Amino acid sequence: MRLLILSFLKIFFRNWRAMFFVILLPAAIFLIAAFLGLERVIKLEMTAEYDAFLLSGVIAFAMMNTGVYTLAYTIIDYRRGQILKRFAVTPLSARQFIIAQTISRFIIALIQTAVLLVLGFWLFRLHFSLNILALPLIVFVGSTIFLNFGFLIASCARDYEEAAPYSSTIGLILVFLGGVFFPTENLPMPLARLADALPLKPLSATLRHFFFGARLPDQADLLILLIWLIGLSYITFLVFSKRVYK
Amino acid sequence: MNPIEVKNLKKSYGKVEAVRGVSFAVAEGEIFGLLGPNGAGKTTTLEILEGLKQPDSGKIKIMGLDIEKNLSEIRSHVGVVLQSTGLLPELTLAELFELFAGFYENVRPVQELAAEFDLIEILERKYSELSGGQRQRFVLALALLHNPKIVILDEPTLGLDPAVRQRFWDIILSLRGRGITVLLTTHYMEEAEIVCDRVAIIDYGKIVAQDRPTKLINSLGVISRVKFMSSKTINLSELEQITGIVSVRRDRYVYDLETEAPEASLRELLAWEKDFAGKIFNLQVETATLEDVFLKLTGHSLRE
Repeated sequence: MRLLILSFLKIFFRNWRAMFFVILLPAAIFLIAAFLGLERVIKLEMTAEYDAFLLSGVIAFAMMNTGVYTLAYTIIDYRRGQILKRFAVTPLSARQFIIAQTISRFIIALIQTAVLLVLGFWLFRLHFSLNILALPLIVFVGSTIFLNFGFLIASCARDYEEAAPYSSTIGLILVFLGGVFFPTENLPMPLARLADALPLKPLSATLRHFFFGARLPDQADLLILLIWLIGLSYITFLVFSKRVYK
Repeated sequence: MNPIEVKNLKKSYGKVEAVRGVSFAVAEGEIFGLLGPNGAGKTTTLEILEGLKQPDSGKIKIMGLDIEKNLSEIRSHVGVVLQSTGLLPELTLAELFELFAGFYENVRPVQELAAEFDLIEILERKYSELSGGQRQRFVLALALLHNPKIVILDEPTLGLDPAVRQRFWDIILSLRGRGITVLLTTHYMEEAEIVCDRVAIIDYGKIVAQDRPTKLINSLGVISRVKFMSSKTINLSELEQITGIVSVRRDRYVYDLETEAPEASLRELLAWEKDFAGKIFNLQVETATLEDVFLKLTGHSLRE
């Protein structure tokens, strides 16, 4: 499985377009949104505060994109190109395949997060109070949740055309209620509660805590993330191994 | 114990019955072919044997093991060439060998395998950059990487040009001496005749006949033709004496003999010619093929 993880990483680093979308695009989105002065639109007084808000949102947003779009489309390619089938006739199990994908994408998400953090420190002089050991843990939880979305989209959709509406609907709802560009607290009550229950908002909120000097994240957010992580991983394993990995 | 035993296998997709009670057994070291037109149920049968599809009913034993309970052990002993193989497109052949070697316990050295399949010079190339023949050689080498006892090939020469196809047959035939059991599907009758020790003819999800190719051709009383011209008129009753001859016709200079035993008839004809005052020339033999057997058994052609 170590070799499979290495292979997935090799594939990623040989694909310049994938690198662009995964590493540079989130950075660009962050910079553009930060310099646009969106804080005036949503009436946040302090610019520095908004930059920190935005940075944690974009980190979570980038992880979501990797799962909901990139992974979903990659798995559809593997499925249609008979690549999964060739793996399926070897002793490599569906579980091992999922784990190898998850670990390699987690490593990529770490790099992605590191690039965004460095940008935040360097350009905006943000402070990050997080225990350095907790960061990979949160990235792992967040990245895995959204990878599961990707696996499930690819399990339901046979081709890009079918996947596109799934990905964009899920992506739109998650971003709209994800606390990426604006706080969800200002939303009408039912929407704000829904935002709390979906995974993107708790993830960006958890990351955000550490920009504002907190030592521990909000426990309700963590609980919701864990429920999503365990529930989705279980469903993904069942659906992917029964319906897709063959 | 036969390495592959299949009993009364059935599989439907909705209302379409793809496999309707297929039974066969492949002996150790044997090259066994499933011959039939597209849509006959060959690929479905193989995919069930590879554990990719669940049968509706039927019993399958591979190396004496039950396919449902021991699938992962079976997979470590079986090499597979799928009908169309996809491999991670960004990786080179060397990297793909290394990756797949990681899935098995006991693998052959890549250099040795690459030398055997004439892949040394293209090891640093990517799978997507290879020609059809190179791809098929690589895919077969990959299937043999872990010293499998059984190799399953689904239409291995589909879309290859004739010269490349013949080269691929040589490689498959070379597996025979090594005790590897081979199960393949094809809809090329020459392929089945040349490569396979035994053939099962499959049509609409059922096996209609199975035996050695020559036996299938002969046993059904399929007729071969011997045609020639003669410098002097021959008395037709003389030709009717020859072993195996069923009927004799003459059309001006051309003699048209139907025979059930082409080799024997031909030998006798040539022996008879020595005492014949004239000379026979333009000798042609049109032997029956598995195509004729298929036509006779199913009432339609393989290519339909």
